[in-house]
Amino acid sequence: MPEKGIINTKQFVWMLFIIITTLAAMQIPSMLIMQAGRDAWLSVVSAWFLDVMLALVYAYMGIRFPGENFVQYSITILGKYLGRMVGILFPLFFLLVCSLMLQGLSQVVNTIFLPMTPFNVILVSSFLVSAFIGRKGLEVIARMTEVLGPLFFFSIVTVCCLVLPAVHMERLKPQLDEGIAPFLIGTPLMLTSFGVCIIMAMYIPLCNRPENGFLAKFSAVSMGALVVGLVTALSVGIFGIEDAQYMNSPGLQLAKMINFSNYLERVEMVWLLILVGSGIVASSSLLWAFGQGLAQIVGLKTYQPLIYPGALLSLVFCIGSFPSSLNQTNFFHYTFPIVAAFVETGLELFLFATALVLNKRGAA
Amino acid sequence: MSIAEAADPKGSRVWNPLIEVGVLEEDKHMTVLIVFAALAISLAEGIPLGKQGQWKELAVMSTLLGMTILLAAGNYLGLPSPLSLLERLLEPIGKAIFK
Repeated sequence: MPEKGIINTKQFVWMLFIIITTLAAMQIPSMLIMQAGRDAWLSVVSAWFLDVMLALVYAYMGIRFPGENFVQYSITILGKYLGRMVGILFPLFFLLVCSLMLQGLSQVVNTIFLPMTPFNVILVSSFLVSAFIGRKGLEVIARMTEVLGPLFFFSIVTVCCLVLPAVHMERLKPQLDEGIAPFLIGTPLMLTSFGVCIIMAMYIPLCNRPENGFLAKFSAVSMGALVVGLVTALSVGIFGIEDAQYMNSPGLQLAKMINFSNYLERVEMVWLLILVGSGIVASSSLLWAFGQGLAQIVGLKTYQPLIYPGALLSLVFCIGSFPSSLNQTNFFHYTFPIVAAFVETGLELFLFATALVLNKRGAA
Repeated sequence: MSIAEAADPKGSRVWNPLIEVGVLEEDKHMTVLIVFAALAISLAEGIPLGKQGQWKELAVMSTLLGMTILLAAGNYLGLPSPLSLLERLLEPIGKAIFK
């Protein structure tokens, strides 16, 4: 296997948490509020439940094919040629998510904090740092997430606790006034963002306790759902659906509200610092997964020479496909959920069913 | 007034492909930057791979960099990127499902 590093269960949890939360907490709450209105938090709960169900399939496949990730077991199940054609879709999906994540992160930094800095400077810097970390390997990423993950989690929970007095409960009522359709349509939007943690299948073979794959995913997605659910519900309760649905990053707007008389202000800077750190580490993890997956498909001894070219390719995707923040938001809202549902759910369930029908198993 | 007319109000007949496709100055700089970055990566990663005889790794890396340069050139010439094509294909479905 190109990657020689080993991670423990705790690192596994924080790595998944950071990926889920960075992607979901930045732009998803406003899209979800636009979709489901006051019932947006119900979409988070139902997406959490469906994602846990999906995690059972991924964890089962990890145990059925010990020491193999989905790129490898797609070759074991479908054969050399078809398996490689299916397997390459996973690394390409991670590259797409990396583009979306860094573009979104750079937009937040550019719009809110560094409006005078050219956008491309922020974007290129983010890619450079992500690629640098990704090339160092999984153990380095895992150690960074062990520090940043708890900070990220507790910072969001603290922000949510501090803004609680500003919540107007009447803005959250009535629930289900338009029936169950809005929150049911919002569910796939949320599920596809949580679903990025299919990257767990890349981590399971490298975890010192592969049987803990489900537990790790369950813990990570539960914390992620709590964070996104809180941000979504509080944004509606404080700003109202009319304003919250058009906000760039509702979590950041919540952090901006914190002000203790005149001696504690601009707390959002601390939150942004953690968000940027987490976003960059999550992107480096995605770049690592791209390099590792591609190296396994082609049969390379090492994945490291593919990280910088992968980051450059991802950067070209950003520049060519998302010339403005509106393009990225549109892609994230209308196109990404379809692509993600196909890769995260469709492909994996297809591999699962094929393995059962053909009675394929990994070498123990 | 089109971009071409704005850039060339007197209507000189010198054909400039950059004006034709409306390439912005910033995009032009980024394309040049990407080509230089690809060359730098190919040197920094390629030389050690060549010395160690890892030709397969070198071939995959070069293919990735080649694809990157081709996509950057496509952007420069105003061609749609793969993600734009994907968006054209799937966005109508997404708009039918989501608000």
